[in-house]
Amino acid sequence: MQEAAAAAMPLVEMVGLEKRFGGVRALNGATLTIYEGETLALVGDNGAGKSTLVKALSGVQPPDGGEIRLKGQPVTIPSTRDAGALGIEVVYQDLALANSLDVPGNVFLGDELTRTRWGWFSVPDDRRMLQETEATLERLRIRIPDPRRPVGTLSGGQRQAVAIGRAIRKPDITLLVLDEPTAALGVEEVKKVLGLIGTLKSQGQSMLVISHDLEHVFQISDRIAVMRSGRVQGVVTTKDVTKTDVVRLIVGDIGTGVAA
Amino acid sequence: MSAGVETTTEQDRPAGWLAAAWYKITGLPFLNTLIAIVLLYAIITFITGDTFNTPQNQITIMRAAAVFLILAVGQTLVMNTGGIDISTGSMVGVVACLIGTGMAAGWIPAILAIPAAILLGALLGAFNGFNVTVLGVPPLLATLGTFVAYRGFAQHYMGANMVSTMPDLIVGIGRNFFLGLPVAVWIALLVAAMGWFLLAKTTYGRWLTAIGSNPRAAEATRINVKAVVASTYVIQGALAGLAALVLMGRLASASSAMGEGLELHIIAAVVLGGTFLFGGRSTMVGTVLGVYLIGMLENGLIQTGAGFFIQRIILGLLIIAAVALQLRRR
Repeated sequence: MQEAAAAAMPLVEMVGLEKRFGGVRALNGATLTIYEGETLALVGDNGAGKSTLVKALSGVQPPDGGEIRLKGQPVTIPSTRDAGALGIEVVYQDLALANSLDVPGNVFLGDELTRTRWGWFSVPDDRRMLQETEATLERLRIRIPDPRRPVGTLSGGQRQAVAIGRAIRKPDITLLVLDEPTAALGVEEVKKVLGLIGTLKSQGQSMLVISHDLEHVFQISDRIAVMRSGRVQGVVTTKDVTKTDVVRLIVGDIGTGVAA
Repeated sequence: MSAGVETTTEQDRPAGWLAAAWYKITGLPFLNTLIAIVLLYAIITFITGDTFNTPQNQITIMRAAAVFLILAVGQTLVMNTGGIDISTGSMVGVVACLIGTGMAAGWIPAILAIPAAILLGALLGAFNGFNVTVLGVPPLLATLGTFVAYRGFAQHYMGANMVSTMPDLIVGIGRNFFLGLPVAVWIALLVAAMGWFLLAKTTYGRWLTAIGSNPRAAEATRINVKAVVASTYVIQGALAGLAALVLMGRLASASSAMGEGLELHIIAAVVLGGTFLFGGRSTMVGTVLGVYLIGMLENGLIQTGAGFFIQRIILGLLIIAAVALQLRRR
């Protein structure tokens, strides 16, 4: 896989990202490359800088320094809207879903297909949104028996599928970022979500997956990036390492000698 | 499809198998409000004998409820986002004083008074919207502030004076009939129909529900949450302007006390109609029923000889009971 990764095009390159919060250096020259079509897992202890890195990428908190390149072109991502325009979609841990709305209502929220063009007061085209939602869920091989139900009544795994469906609905998505996709889920639900990630992977979707759970990371990732103290301390090819190796990297037991 | 946002909320589904069956058949979530209306109607008719259950009295109820309904439509939109506007009665007071004296002094022709009142109300509402969205003041406190300040302005401006003549056009709005119903009732029903369309049939209504349900979810999308939330207060203000016209017409006068205590009726009606106090679910049909329920209750209380103060006690307790029931069903 290392050869394959090396042969693939770099999709997103983060070079020397810096971010300070008062005296705390949340990002201290973080450098990471995500290749086309790969599933890169991002691991590290609490406070290692994982979420700050994701926030830099998603436009939530632009970095103070460093450079982000998309397909070789330097880009700035000052807001989430800019991230969306560049095709970077983030699915957050707490799944920002509107529980009162149904599945299509959430998948298309703020981006509704409409039957009239009256701006804010357009009439939604619920039939088409339902069809497209079902097509998206089909693509994810997820079955939600009644998508017209409010998402507040769905299971955790189904809700995760709705959130991911929302992110990948757009045709021009380049990178899908999943923030702790299996946290707070039951065993069966975790299986479904891991299966869903596998489906996306087989469809060639480039993904950055943040996770605490090394078990899950080993099941889904091509490579694993380890963060510590605001830096990416190492990037390893999943099939070449053991969990123990990764744990050592996380706690800083060995140097940065592993292929970076 | 079908009922859109109005009926998509799980919590809308009332507890109990009867209510569940009703919901399944009709898709309407406000069975409880309907049951309350039927029961109350029967009880009041029983107590009052034949004075309550007459067409004439029903028209009296509707005419009084027309002003409530106009305001309750706006309140439903505000509350669906998780907000609240308790300044409605005070906005009515300011509009009545300024437009009323303007007409009496001959500065404002009656025909222009209508758009002027609505525009002035919208401005008062925009100030609420600004305070809530730009300054970030919690809605309850932002509108408590204007509840006091607007009333204070009306009292300062008018003192103990009163405008006691109104142009025929304005009086006609408050007192004339059209096709057997008061003009005010037609206006209120038209406003309710527009509110229903907004809430149930447009992306705007869906955004209100999303914002009330999970503001963070809405903020993560292309929805301009602040502008949408602010707009609900502007609509509420514009409707307060319209309500002030209807009230001035009905009373053929304007004073600084106009609209006092209205907010209590409005909030009670909206909550009794099934709108969740903390946002994310509401139906306009439920609001219409809630307004009728409040109008009927008030009328019944008067007929049974309960005074104004007793009415206030009951209204206040009713709001608490309705919200407590909503929270239990959650």
